Amino acid sequence: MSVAEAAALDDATLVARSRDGDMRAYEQLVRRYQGPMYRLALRIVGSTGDAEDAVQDVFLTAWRRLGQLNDDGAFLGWLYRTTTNQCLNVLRKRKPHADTELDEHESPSPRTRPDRAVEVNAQLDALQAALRGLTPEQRACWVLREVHGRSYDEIAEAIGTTQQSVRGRLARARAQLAEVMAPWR
Amino acid sequence: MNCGEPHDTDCSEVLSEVWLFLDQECDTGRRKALQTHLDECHPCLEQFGLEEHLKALLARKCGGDYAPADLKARIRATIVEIRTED
Repeated sequence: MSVAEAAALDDATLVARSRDGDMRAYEQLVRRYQGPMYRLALRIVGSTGDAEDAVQDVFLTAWRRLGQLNDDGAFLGWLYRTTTNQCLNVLRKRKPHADTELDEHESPSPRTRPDRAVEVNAQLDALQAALRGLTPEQRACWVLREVHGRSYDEIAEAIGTTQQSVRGRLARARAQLAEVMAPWR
Repeated sequence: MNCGEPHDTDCSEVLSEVWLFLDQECDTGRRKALQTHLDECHPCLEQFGLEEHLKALLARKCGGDYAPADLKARIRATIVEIRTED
Protein backbone atom coordinates (compact mmCIF):
# COMPACT_ATOMS: atom_id res chain seq x y z
CA MET A 1 0.00 0.00 0.00
CA SER A 2 1.43 3.37 -1.03
CA VAL A 3 1.48 6.48 1.17
CA ALA A 4 -1.15 8.10 -1.09
CA GLU A 5 -3.43 5.05 -0.79
CA ALA A 6 -3.04 5.01 2.98
CA ALA A 7 -3.86 8.73 3.20
CA ALA A 8 -7.19 8.13 1.47
CA LEU A 9 -8.33 5.47 3.96
CA ASP A 10 -10.46 6.19 7.02
CA ASP A 11 -9.29 5.57 10.58
CA ALA A 12 -11.21 2.33 11.03
CA THR A 13 -9.60 0.75 7.95
CA LEU A 14 -6.14 1.95 8.96
CA VAL A 15 -6.62 0.61 12.50
CA ALA A 16 -7.74 -2.78 11.17
CA ARG A 17 -4.74 -2.98 8.84
CA SER A 18 -2.38 -1.81 11.58
CA ARG A 19 -3.66 -4.56 13.84
CA ASP A 20 -2.69 -7.02 11.13
CA GLY A 21 0.85 -5.67 11.28
CA ASP A 22 0.68 -3.19 8.39
CA MET A 23 3.33 -0.67 9.39
CA ARG A 24 2.47 1.77 6.60
CA ALA A 25 -1.14 1.94 7.77
CA TYR A 26 -0.03 2.76 11.29
CA GLU A 27 2.45 5.35 10.02
CA GLN A 28 -0.48 7.06 8.33
CA LEU A 29 -2.37 7.18 11.63
CA VAL A 30 0.72 8.67 13.29
CA ARG A 31 1.09 11.21 10.47
CA ARG A 32 -2.60 12.10 10.77
CA TYR A 33 -2.70 12.61 14.53
CA GLN A 34 0.79 13.37 15.82
CA GLY A 35 0.17 17.12 15.33
CA PRO A 36 -3.05 17.37 17.37
CA MET A 37 -1.67 15.06 20.08
CA TYR A 38 1.55 17.06 20.31
CA ARG A 39 -0.42 20.33 20.59
CA LEU A 40 -2.55 18.78 23.32
CA ALA A 41 0.46 17.44 25.23
CA LEU A 42 2.45 20.66 24.91
CA ARG A 43 -0.39 22.75 26.29
CA ILE A 44 -1.01 20.41 29.20
CA VAL A 45 2.58 19.64 30.26
CA GLY A 46 4.03 22.97 29.11
CA SER A 47 7.43 21.72 27.97
CA THR A 48 8.48 20.55 24.51
CA GLY A 49 10.63 17.68 25.81
CA ASP A 50 7.89 16.23 28.01
CA ALA A 51 5.32 16.72 25.24
CA GLU A 52 7.45 14.81 22.71
CA ASP A 53 8.06 11.98 25.17
CA ALA A 54 4.36 11.79 26.01
CA VAL A 55 3.30 11.61 22.36
CA GLN A 56 5.92 9.00 21.57
CA ASP A 57 4.74 6.88 24.51
CA VAL A 58 1.11 7.29 23.47
CA PHE A 59 1.66 6.07 19.91
CA LEU A 60 3.77 3.15 21.12
CA THR A 61 1.12 2.21 23.67
CA ALA A 62 -1.55 2.51 20.98
CA TRP A 63 0.43 0.23 18.65
CA ARG A 64 0.75 -2.39 21.37
CA ARG A 65 -2.89 -2.19 22.39
CA LEU A 66 -4.66 -2.04 19.05
CA GLY A 67 -5.99 -5.52 19.76
CA GLN A 68 -7.90 -4.19 22.78
CA LEU A 69 -9.76 -1.53 20.78
CA ASN A 70 -13.34 -2.77 20.36
CA ASP A 71 -14.46 -0.16 17.85
CA ASP A 72 -11.91 0.66 15.15
CA GLY A 73 -13.72 3.93 14.43
CA ALA A 74 -13.16 5.09 18.02
CA PHE A 75 -9.39 5.36 17.58
CA LEU A 76 -9.23 9.16 17.79
CA GLY A 77 -11.26 9.35 21.01
CA TRP A 78 -9.04 6.64 22.47
CA LEU A 79 -5.96 8.62 21.42
CA TYR A 80 -7.26 11.77 23.12
CA ARG A 81 -7.98 9.82 26.30
CA THR A 82 -4.57 8.13 26.33
CA THR A 83 -2.69 11.37 25.62
CA THR A 84 -4.62 13.27 28.29
CA ASN A 85 -3.97 10.57 30.90
CA GLN A 86 -0.31 10.36 29.97
CA CYS A 87 0.05 14.13 30.38
CA LEU A 88 -1.84 14.23 33.67
CA ASN A 89 0.48 11.52 35.00
CA VAL A 90 3.51 13.58 33.95
CA LEU A 91 2.12 16.60 35.81
CA ARG A 92 1.28 14.62 38.93
CA LYS A 93 4.83 13.27 39.14
CA ARG A 94 6.37 16.68 38.55
CA LYS A 95 7.43 19.00 41.36
CA PRO A 96 4.89 21.77 41.98
CA HIS A 97 5.51 24.90 39.91
CA ALA A 98 8.12 23.30 37.67
CA ASP A 99 8.97 25.86 35.03
CA THR A 100 7.39 25.46 31.63
CA GLU A 101 8.92 26.74 28.44
CA LEU A 102 7.56 29.42 26.18
CA ASP A 103 7.02 28.01 22.72
CA GLU A 104 9.65 29.18 20.27
CA HIS A 105 7.25 29.60 17.36
CA GLU A 106 5.29 32.16 19.33
CA SER A 107 8.21 34.43 20.08
CA PRO A 108 7.91 37.73 18.23
CA SER A 109 9.76 37.69 14.92
CA PRO A 110 12.81 39.96 14.51
CA ARG A 111 10.73 42.11 12.14
CA THR A 112 8.16 42.87 14.85
CA ARG A 113 8.28 46.47 16.05
CA PRO A 114 10.02 46.57 19.45
CA ASP A 115 6.99 48.02 21.26
CA ARG A 116 4.74 45.36 19.70
CA ALA A 117 7.24 42.62 20.56
CA VAL A 118 7.18 43.66 24.21
CA GLU A 119 3.39 43.46 24.22
CA VAL A 120 3.33 40.04 22.51
CA ASN A 121 5.87 38.70 25.00
CA ALA A 122 3.87 40.08 27.90
CA GLN A 123 0.71 38.40 26.57
CA LEU A 124 2.49 35.07 26.18
CA ASP A 125 4.05 35.30 29.62
CA ALA A 126 0.67 36.09 31.13
CA LEU A 127 -0.98 33.17 29.34
CA GLN A 128 1.78 30.74 30.34
CA ALA A 129 1.56 31.87 33.95
CA ALA A 130 -2.22 31.58 33.90
CA LEU A 131 -2.11 28.05 32.46
CA ARG A 132 0.48 27.07 35.07
CA GLY A 133 -1.87 28.32 37.77
CA LEU A 134 -4.63 25.88 36.78
CA THR A 135 -4.90 22.40 38.25
CA PRO A 136 -3.83 19.65 35.81
CA GLU A 137 -7.47 18.61 35.31
CA GLN A 138 -8.64 22.18 34.69
CA ARG A 139 -5.83 22.70 32.21
CA ALA A 140 -6.65 19.47 30.39
CA CYS A 141 -10.36 20.36 30.19
CA TRP A 142 -9.59 23.84 28.92
CA VAL A 143 -7.07 22.71 26.29
CA LEU A 144 -9.37 19.95 25.02
CA ARG A 145 -12.22 22.45 24.71
CA GLU A 146 -10.53 25.64 23.49
CA VAL A 147 -7.65 24.33 21.42
CA HIS A 148 -9.16 21.05 20.21
CA GLY A 149 -12.85 21.88 20.12
CA ARG A 150 -13.87 18.66 21.89
CA SER A 151 -17.43 18.46 23.24
CA TYR A 152 -18.13 18.29 26.98
CA ASP A 153 -19.05 14.65 26.47
CA GLU A 154 -15.75 13.85 24.75
CA ILE A 155 -13.78 15.72 27.41
CA ALA A 156 -15.58 13.84 30.18
CA GLU A 157 -14.68 10.58 28.47
CA ALA A 158 -11.06 11.61 27.92
CA ILE A 159 -10.56 12.58 31.56
CA GLY A 160 -12.79 9.90 33.04
CA THR A 161 -15.27 12.19 34.75
CA THR A 162 -18.81 13.57 34.37
CA GLN A 163 -20.06 16.34 32.07
CA GLN A 164 -21.06 18.29 35.16
CA SER A 165 -17.51 18.11 36.47
CA VAL A 166 -16.15 19.22 33.09
CA ARG A 167 -18.46 22.26 33.15
CA GLY A 168 -17.25 23.18 36.64
CA ARG A 169 -13.58 22.81 35.76
CA LEU A 170 -14.00 24.81 32.57
CA ALA A 171 -15.82 27.58 34.41
CA ARG A 172 -13.05 27.85 37.01
CA ALA A 173 -10.29 27.68 34.40
CA ARG A 174 -11.94 30.37 32.28
CA ALA A 175 -12.52 32.67 35.23
CA GLN A 176 -8.84 32.43 36.15
CA LEU A 177 -7.62 32.91 32.59
CA ALA A 178 -10.03 35.79 31.98
CA GLU A 179 -8.67 37.59 35.02
CA VAL A 180 -5.06 37.23 33.89
CA MET A 181 -5.79 38.09 30.26
CA ALA A 182 -8.08 41.05 31.10
CA PRO A 183 -5.54 43.71 29.98
CA TRP A 184 -5.57 42.28 26.43
CA ARG A 185 -9.31 41.92 25.98
CA MET B 1 -26.48 41.25 37.25
CA ASN B 2 -29.72 42.65 35.84
CA CYS B 3 -30.16 45.41 33.26
CA GLY B 4 -33.52 46.46 34.71
CA GLU B 5 -35.43 45.74 31.49
CA PRO B 6 -38.09 43.00 31.42
CA HIS B 7 -36.91 39.84 29.61
CA ASP B 8 -38.26 36.32 29.30
CA THR B 9 -34.86 35.07 30.46
CA ASP B 10 -33.12 36.82 33.35
CA CYS B 11 -29.77 38.53 32.63
CA SER B 12 -27.93 36.65 35.38
CA GLU B 13 -29.23 33.39 33.94
CA VAL B 14 -27.99 34.32 30.47
CA LEU B 15 -24.53 35.32 31.69
CA SER B 16 -24.14 32.14 33.71
CA GLU B 17 -24.85 30.17 30.53
CA VAL B 18 -22.92 32.30 28.06
CA TRP B 19 -20.11 29.75 27.84
CA LEU B 20 -22.55 26.91 27.16
CA PHE B 21 -23.89 29.07 24.36
CA LEU B 22 -20.39 29.79 22.99
CA ASP B 23 -19.44 26.12 23.26
CA GLN B 24 -22.68 25.13 21.49
CA GLU B 25 -23.51 22.82 24.37
CA CYS B 26 -27.12 23.85 25.00
CA ASP B 27 -30.16 22.40 23.27
CA THR B 28 -31.91 24.22 20.44
CA GLY B 29 -34.71 25.64 22.61
CA ARG B 30 -32.30 27.04 25.18
CA ARG B 31 -30.03 28.38 22.47
CA LYS B 32 -32.96 30.21 20.92
CA ALA B 33 -33.97 31.76 24.25
CA LEU B 34 -30.41 32.95 24.93
CA GLN B 35 -30.06 34.31 21.39
CA THR B 36 -33.34 36.23 21.74
CA HIS B 37 -32.14 37.74 25.00
CA LEU B 38 -28.78 38.76 23.50
CA ASP B 39 -30.56 40.33 20.53
CA GLU B 40 -32.58 42.63 22.79
CA CYS B 41 -30.23 43.23 25.74
CA HIS B 42 -27.22 45.45 25.06
CA PRO B 43 -25.36 44.93 28.40
CA CYS B 44 -25.52 41.14 28.01
CA LEU B 45 -24.50 41.35 24.36
CA GLU B 46 -21.50 43.48 25.37
CA GLN B 47 -20.46 40.93 28.00
CA PHE B 48 -21.00 38.13 25.48
CA GLY B 49 -18.75 40.00 23.02
CA LEU B 50 -15.97 40.19 25.62
CA GLU B 51 -16.20 36.47 26.35
CA GLU B 52 -16.20 35.69 22.63
CA HIS B 53 -13.15 37.90 22.14
CA LEU B 54 -11.32 36.24 25.02
CA LYS B 55 -12.15 32.80 23.64
CA ALA B 56 -10.76 33.78 20.22
CA LEU B 57 -7.65 35.37 21.75
CA LEU B 58 -6.82 32.34 23.86
CA ALA B 59 -7.46 29.89 21.03
CA ARG B 60 -5.27 31.96 18.70
CA LYS B 61 -2.42 32.04 21.21
CA CYS B 62 -2.58 28.26 21.65
CA GLY B 63 -3.28 26.95 18.19
CA GLY B 64 0.02 26.95 16.33
CA ASP B 65 2.27 24.34 17.89
CA TYR B 66 3.80 21.92 15.41
CA ALA B 67 5.15 18.47 16.19
CA PRO B 68 8.91 18.14 15.64
CA ALA B 69 9.76 16.97 12.12
CA ASP B 70 11.52 13.82 13.33
CA LEU B 71 8.84 12.66 15.78
CA LYS B 72 7.16 10.25 13.34
CA ALA B 73 10.53 8.74 12.40
CA ARG B 74 11.37 8.21 16.08
CA ILE B 75 8.03 6.50 16.71
CA ARG B 76 8.54 4.28 13.67
CA ALA B 77 12.07 3.32 14.73
CA THR B 78 10.90 2.31 18.20
CA ILE B 79 8.03 0.22 16.81
CA VAL B 80 10.41 -1.55 14.41
CA GLU B 81 12.65 -2.26 17.41
CA ILE B 82 9.73 -3.71 19.38
CA ARG B 83 8.67 -5.89 16.44
CA THR B 84 12.21 -7.21 16.06
CA GLU B 85 12.26 -8.15 19.76
CA ASP B 86 8.89 -9.91 19.39
